[in-house]
Parts: sequence; C-alpha cells; structure tokens
Amino acid sequence: MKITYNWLKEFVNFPWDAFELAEHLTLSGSEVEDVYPAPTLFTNFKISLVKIVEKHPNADKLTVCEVDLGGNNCEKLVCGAPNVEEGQKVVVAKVGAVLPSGMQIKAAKIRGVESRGMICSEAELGISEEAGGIMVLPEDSKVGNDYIPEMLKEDTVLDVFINPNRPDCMSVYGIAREVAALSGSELIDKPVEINNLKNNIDNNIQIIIEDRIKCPRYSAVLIKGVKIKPSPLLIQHRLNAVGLRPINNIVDATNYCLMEWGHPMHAFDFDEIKGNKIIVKTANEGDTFTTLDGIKRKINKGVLLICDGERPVALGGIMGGENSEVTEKTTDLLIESAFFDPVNTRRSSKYLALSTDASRRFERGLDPNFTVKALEKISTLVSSITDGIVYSPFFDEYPEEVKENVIKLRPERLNQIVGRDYTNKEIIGTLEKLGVRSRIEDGVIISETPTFRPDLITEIDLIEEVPRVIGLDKIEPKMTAMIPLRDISNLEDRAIFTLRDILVSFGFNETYTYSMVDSKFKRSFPDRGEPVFLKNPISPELSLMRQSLIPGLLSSARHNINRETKDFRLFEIGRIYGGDLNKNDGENESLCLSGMISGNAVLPSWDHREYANDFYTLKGFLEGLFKKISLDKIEFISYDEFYLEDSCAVYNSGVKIGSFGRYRDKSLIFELETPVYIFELEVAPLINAVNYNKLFKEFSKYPPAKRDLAFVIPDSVPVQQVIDHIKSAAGDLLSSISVDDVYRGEQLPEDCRSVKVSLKFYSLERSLLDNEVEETIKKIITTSKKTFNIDIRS
Amino acid sequence: MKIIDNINKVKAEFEIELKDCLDIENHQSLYRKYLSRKSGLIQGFFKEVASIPPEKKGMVGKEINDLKLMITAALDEKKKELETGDSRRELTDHSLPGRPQYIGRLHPLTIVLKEMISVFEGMGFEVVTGPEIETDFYNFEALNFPEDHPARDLQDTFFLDNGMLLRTHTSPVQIRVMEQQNPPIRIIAPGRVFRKDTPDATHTPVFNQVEGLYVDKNVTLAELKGSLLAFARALFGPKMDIRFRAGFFPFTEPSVEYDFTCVMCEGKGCSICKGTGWIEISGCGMVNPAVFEFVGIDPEEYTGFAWGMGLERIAMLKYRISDIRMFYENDLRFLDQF
Repeated sequence: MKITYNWLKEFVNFPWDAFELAEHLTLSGSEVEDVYPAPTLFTNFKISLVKIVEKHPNADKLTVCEVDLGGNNCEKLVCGAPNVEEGQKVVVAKVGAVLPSGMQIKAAKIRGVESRGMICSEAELGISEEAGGIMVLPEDSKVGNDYIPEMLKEDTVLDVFINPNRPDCMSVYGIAREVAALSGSELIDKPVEINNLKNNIDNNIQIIIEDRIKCPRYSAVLIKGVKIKPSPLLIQHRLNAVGLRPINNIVDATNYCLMEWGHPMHAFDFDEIKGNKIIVKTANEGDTFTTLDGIKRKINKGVLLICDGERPVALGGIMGGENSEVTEKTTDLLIESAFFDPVNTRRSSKYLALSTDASRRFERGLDPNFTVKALEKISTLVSSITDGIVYSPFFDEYPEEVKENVIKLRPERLNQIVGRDYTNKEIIGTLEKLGVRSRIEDGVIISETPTFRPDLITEIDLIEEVPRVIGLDKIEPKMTAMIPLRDISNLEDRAIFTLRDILVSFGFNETYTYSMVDSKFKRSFPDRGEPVFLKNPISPELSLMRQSLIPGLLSSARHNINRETKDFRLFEIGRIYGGDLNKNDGENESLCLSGMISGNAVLPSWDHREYANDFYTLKGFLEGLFKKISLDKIEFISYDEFYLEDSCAVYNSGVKIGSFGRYRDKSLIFELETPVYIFELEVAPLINAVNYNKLFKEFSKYPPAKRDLAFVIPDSVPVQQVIDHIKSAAGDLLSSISVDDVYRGEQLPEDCRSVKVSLKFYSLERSLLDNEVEETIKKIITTSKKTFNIDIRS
Repeated sequence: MKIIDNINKVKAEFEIELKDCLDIENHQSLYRKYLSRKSGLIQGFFKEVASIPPEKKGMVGKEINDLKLMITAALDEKKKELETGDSRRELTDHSLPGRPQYIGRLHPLTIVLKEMISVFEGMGFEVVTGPEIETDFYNFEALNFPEDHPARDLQDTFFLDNGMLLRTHTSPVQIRVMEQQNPPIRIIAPGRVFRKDTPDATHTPVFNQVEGLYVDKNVTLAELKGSLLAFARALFGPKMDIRFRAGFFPFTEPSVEYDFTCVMCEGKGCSICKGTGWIEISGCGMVNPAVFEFVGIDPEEYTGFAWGMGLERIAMLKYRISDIRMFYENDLRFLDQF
C-alpha cells in the first residue's frame, strides 16, 4: 500500500524525514519496501518567458505570443488572456500536456494562426478558481524549469507492506495512528464540516439486511445536486501518487476517503436505485452480474448482493455494478458505507477471482463502528468540492452493535515472555497511544481494545504490542547456557551424513535436484507405488513428485556433458514419493541414495593411463560402501531394470534394496553422449547398518600364510559361489580372499575361465604351520571339486 | 674426536653421492670407494681404531660399524633399483602435473547445514525431521492459520489431488514434536519446503529451511535474540549483530523478522543491504498460546520460541552466491568450488 509523506503529515506531526519514517515503520512491523519522490501529473508544463506579444490578425480579443520555453526553445501560441505582456514569466502547457481538467493540449490552428501550447491561468492549472487571466510568476522564476504547483512540491511516496492482521493500517490515518504511537506525537483528526446539510425527513430509503452474518451493518448517505467534473488538483495528484487513476470528483472522493481512512465506500447513481430500497442478500447459485468494469460474472450463493427494489446493483464488499455506476450525467448519489464479514468477502473474492481495494480490506476485517464516521468524512469532502446537498441523518441499519473487547493484561506475564521489565506506566502509555483504553486494577491492566483492531483478542495480542511500539532494539540479547536435554544425536540424520561422507571419499560430488519431475516419468518406476501429482503445478515439467532420483541425476549429467565435462561422479540423497495416497504422516516418502559415474574410471593424464568406467567400477564402489558400513549380507543378482543394461539387483538379507548398471540410453528420455553407470539404493537399510558403537576387533600379531589357487571354472558357475564356498570350507583361519586374475585362453576349454584367488590365513594365537595351511588348501580343493566339479589349473 | 668428525663427513658425502648415482658403473665406483676391503674408506677407519685409546675403542668401533651397515644396505637397495628399473628411465620431471584424481565434495547446502547443525547441537538442540507431504492441519490449521484467512496468501501452496499439500515451511514439525513430547523441548528441523514460485534468481519451488523450537519454563524473547545472535556469530564471525523488526506469523506472538549485520559490508551499508547495513534473514517469535493449546501444552506454565531460517539464504550469504538456482543445477563448475 502506498501513502505519501505530506498526506501523513496532515494527521501527525512527527519529527522524522521520509527515510527515518520508513525505518521506524519497518522496525515496528509495517515494512516500507520502497521510498521515492512522488510522481507528478505535471509533465510538459514549463516556466517560460513571454518574448513577443502581437495582436492576432483575425481576432480582436486574442494575441499571438512567442514564448521562450528555456534555452531559446521558442514556440508561437495564441493567447486569449487580457493580462499577457512581454517580459512576463508564465507557465506554458506544451503540446502533449494534460490539464487537471483532463483537457489535452494539442497543436491547433486558432483562427488561422498555428498555436503550439497554452499559457495557463491558475484555474487551468487547478491551483485556484482564478480564471480571469494568465498566472504571472515572480521575476526570479527560472525559465526552462518544469512547473509544479507549490502545494504538490516535494512529496515522497512510501510503499508499505501491511501484515494481513493489521487492516487498521491500510490507510493514511491508520499509519498516522502508528506513527503517533511510535513517535509520541499527537494524532490529529479532521473536523466534520458539511457545507450544505439538509434534513433527511423527506427521503425515505429503506435498508433491509437479509443476511446479518455476512453484513452486520449497512449505512448510507444521500447527496443530491452534485456536478460531475474533475477533482481538485491535490486530490488528483495524491491519488495518482498512490497508484489510483483520477476519474471524476465523486469516484475520486470515494477513493480518496478509502486511502485516507481505510473504509471502502461505494457511490451509486441514485437515479438508478429503484424503489427507494436497499436490500442486502445472498445470491442464487448461477446468477450473473455485470460489475462496473464491464465484466459479466457468474456468481454463487455465497456472494453477497446489494440490491435495490428490483435488481442487484453491487457485489457487497467487492465491486459495484455497471447498472448503477456514477456517470457524467449523475446528479444524485447514494453512498454506501457498510461492514461486510471478512470470511465471506474472502471466499467470494476467491470464487470470483476478483480482488479489489475494497475486498482486500473487508477480508482482513474492518471497523463496524466506523461506517457512519466514514460517511461524515466523505460528506465533508464531497460538499467541499461540489455544490451537492448532504441529507442528514444518515441511513444506518445496525442490528447488533459490536462492542469493544476487554482484555486483562498481567504485566508480569508480559515481562516473562519478553524477558525485559516494563513498568506499568510504560505499558499503559503505549496501549493508550494505540487507542487501547487501559487502566490498572489490582495489579492487572484492564484494556478495552477498539473495534478497529480485530487482531487484539487475547492477552498475548496486547503483549506483542508493547515491545513492538517501545522498540525491539530495547530487548537485550540473553542466552543461558543450554545443557542437552537428552541424547541429542539423531542417529538417522547422522547416518545420512555418514553415507554422504563415504560417497565423497569415493570421489563423488553431491547434487541437489528438485523434488518434482516431468510427468512423463509417471510410468517409469511402477514398483514405487502410485505416483503423486501436484494439483496446481508450475508446469508439466515439474508436476510429478519424483519416484526416483535417477531422472534428476540424468538431467544433471546432461547439463554437464553438454558443457564438455564428461568425467564425473555424482550422487544425491533425497526423498522419493509414492505409494498409497490415503496414507498420511510421511508414509509415502522414503529416502533414496542414487549415484552415477560418467566417463573414465581413472582420469586422463599426460601418460594416457586412463581407462573407462564399466560395470566393475561401479560394483567396486558399491562393495566399498557396503564394506564401510559393515553391511555384509549383500548379494548382487543379475537383473535388468528396463532403464538399465548390464545390470544387477542388490539384495540385503534376501530383500531387494536397489539396482545398478549401465544406463540404457533414451530409456528415461535423456539421451547422453557419454555412457553412464547408475545405481539407486534404499537408504533405510543402509542407515540401519551404520554403527556408531563399533568395537575394536583383535587382529593377528603373527605373519600371514599366503596361498594362491587358480581354478578352472565353467561359465555356468558364478565366481561368487566359488568364493563363498572357499570361505566356508576354509573356516576361521582364512582372513581374506581376493580374485587376482581371470584368464581365458587356448589352453582352457572354451566355456571356462581360470580364476586365480589369493588367500591369506592368520591365527590370533601363533604363526601357522605349513601343514595346517596345506590341509585347509587340500580341503578347499577337494570340496570344490565335489561341489562344482572344478579343478585346479595345473 | 677427529675420527668421529671424519666418520660424519664421510656419511654426509656418501648420501650426496648416492643421490647422484644413476647407473651401475657409478654404483660400482661407489662400492669401491666406500666398501673395498683394500682401499675403502670404511676399511681405513677400522685401521685407525688401533691407534685410539682403549676406553674409546668400543664406541668408535660401533660408529664405524653402523656406517658400514648403512652404506651396505643403501648400496644394495640402489643396486636393486638400478637393475629392475627401466634402463631408459628418465628423471622425474617435478614440474609435470600429477595424475588428476576424482575429488568428492559435499553439496554446499550440505556443508552449511552440517555447520548449522553443529552450532545448534552445541546449544543443546536436537535434530528432528518430518514429512514433506503434509495435511492442511499440520501445515496451517494447528499453526493458527484459520481457514479463509488472508495469512494463507503469504505462502503459495502446492496441493495434491487427495487434498494433502507439500509443506510450505518446516513449522509443521513443531506441531508433530509438541504432540509427541512434553517440555522441555529443544529441536531443530531441517528439510525441504515447497512454494509455488517460478524459478528466478531468488526463488525456487523447492528450498530448505531449518526450523528451531525451544519450549520450557521461562523461555523469553530476549533469549531468542541471544540464541540467534550466538548462531550468527558462530557462522559469520564475531562482528555479527542481530536486529529484530516486528512481524506477523499466525503461530508466533510476538512475531519478529530478524536481520543480521550485512556480511558484505559488515554493517557499513552497501548495495547488497541497500545501505541499511542489515540483511533480512527470516522470521521468528514466541510460540503463540493458541498453538500450545492445539498440542495440549499449558501456555501458562510454558513459554517457547521458534524460528525459521532459509538454508539457501544462509549459504548464499556465506559463499556470496547471487542466484539460488545454482544449488539445483549441479553444474560441476559450481559444485567443484566447495
């Protein structure tokens, strides 16, 4: 909401410049988002010198003048003023200037003489009624400067963000009330002065409120005999400065009062109000109504209608109707000032997708006890700018008066919450300045909160006001030492960091991707449960809650490959979504760890020892990960996900927890120039495995006995099975086993390979004797023969 | 003793010569020079032993023997090296770059989160998490956002077809924790939150918050100020100060917007802080008694404070990153900087 500095000054004489004002307002909760010089409606008005005045060749009362607009930029124009003289300094409206009356200056021929501009009178400039001649400026006026009337000079606009709980601040007066409290200055009200006041006895307008919940109060004033014309300059100028377009004196008056007092009012053309009746009632489902912006709108039964004797004439609290709008021909007005229910106004405004200056205020909650005062304000204004006759008393239907709220405020409670000691005097003084009448009774402050503050309902609401107004900077920071309340290490959270650290130690870069992905992936991960869609996504590309981290990784890979970076390792730990949508409380979310390797396993260097990633590179990382967290019931079983080739599923204690392999290009839309290998694992089993209470395990002090064995193994026997067999056959002495060589060649049968395994044996108690180890080796060889029918390569 | 000095001199000489020994020929000449039984320097020392006083003989003899063993071992090793090494072996060019390695890195948001967690854990806060797909109840209603209240407009929400929503802040975790635990409670809740914002330099539809909540007897606004100030100083240095501005959030009262000293200009005023010397961080306040009533905590007995904090915001300030989208683009030129 915009206000101007000078406008505010009419209500409170505070000691700050615009920037200090902005600072104080910001600190007290009305954040000033921008401060800038008020725009002026006065463009194309120049202080000029009258150089030559000659008689108009074709008209007695006109002269032809040459004026210097500054810098010897001269124009000829025709003038009708009797008082124009050479050497005068005057205001020239150049071609393109718009007078406050709305008249636009154009180049024209006046009685055969070209005229480019106009020398202005005070009336034409809108600064007085004086129309008898042109306005002559003082000698020392600077030719060439823009002309701006004195009363409009040097104003500043402040753009203030008003929190939704403070409808009372949505006006110049409301901000003035805050400023008065903050600065300790007096708040100045404006007197009610209605020029042409007549008794209302002859006018009988009946106000009937059918829905008292949605409209607790409806007031109105009748003003007759107005003449529609442009508003006075100051009004136009200020409305323009706060972002409202000046229209005519009546529309402007309602807008001006709205901005000044914050209470929306609506002027009807009284001639269009049929049957001397206003009926406030709810609409029928499916009705239509044309608002004054010319749009025919479908309405529902929640919308509140303002009707005359025959038809709806306005949408209550939102916008007036086209059928009863004030036009050039209007002479008599009925001005509405009502109180509409916030919730219903908001629902209706949402339903209609129509948010107006009025609805934004009503939906936040206005003061029901201000409607008649608002009418006094607007009557004062209208009667000062037109000759209209105001009829009094006003019409006012207010079945149930809303009373002030009484709140008890315990000073010790305030101090307990804020952590600062406020005196009763400070507290009461602050509240009083905000318009909250307060007194102390038995150590408790009894406050009557005014009806313009719907946010003050309970004690805590008042408590907030005290430090806010006295200054949050007066609160000294305190911090008592805090002892942890319980075992504060969230192990699950810590385990996630551990997993990250492991991947980082393998040379992976961590990535973050959005939780939403393209809806095209909705059928890509069918085993992850029902896909979760957003009802109101930003775009189809971000409309599906991800069921896998792989699309995000692929997108990151493409981004980098397209930028000529092809060797990288990426991972992400994040939530995936899907499952049974009737479930709640996070049951449709689970943590997932995915990674990707692209390009080379060993990076290129000047001696060309690089080599490309393959299945085994990735498998090695996964084995390393599982080893690090001591997850030892892992099995890798060949399994093709449709988006992978050369791939395995990973089983933990017989339960599938993920898969890995080479990305099958284009299978998940992405097409990559470089082959990438990806894995995805559920995080829950990994977290469970991470153990922060590991115990040291004794290892042998004695030298190992090392033996190599080369088996010739047919392709039908997985090497892993042989290894598992050796482990069980070798017993406790075997401390490690590794595959050192795999060989195929002419000396071997075609469907066999020679696999050399290297075994290390230890004993915790002693150096092993040769024959002990030999016996074990023999046992391994014979049982392997028996189990797999495989032999040692001779 | 002169002989000891000579032994040390020979030792030093040998070490230099060994370094320069690059072929077998040179190796042989070294062998002759030091270890030859006839003319070797070691043999020479042994001969001198005869002429020194008997009480020193043992000590000097040991010195000579040690030197002999050292030289023998060094020459043996050198010999092996020369024999097995490529005969065309070049000198190591110390100016060539080493072989590049993959250097894994945490995402900057993780790094900052880790740091934040460690600061708050040090202050006695426990890390908890909560669901991202939330109900209206936890995200709004229990946090005192009445239905049809304009306060809901402050956060543009993503909805799901089943009436649930993506949490717009981490504050629902406050409710979930207070439902489960009795005071005292001291938690932080990091996690993803979602707002229907089109991505630009300062907005992404997905971002992270770190929520804080402390409920106990006699928790005050002054203490909230102190805790956040302590955090600011831990993360950005001892020159940090904190500023409270009045704010509005339905679930806290008093509600406060808090600023830190501008990290760019240290409060002097610059273009980043628009000359104010302050950088807006986020919102905080005292837990609204209405929220306590929702979760069955007696607001007369307990008070509490809560804050929100944008993880991206803190990371952007820390690393001076000006475009929030960078965090989600995963460009390696970005990731490789942290």
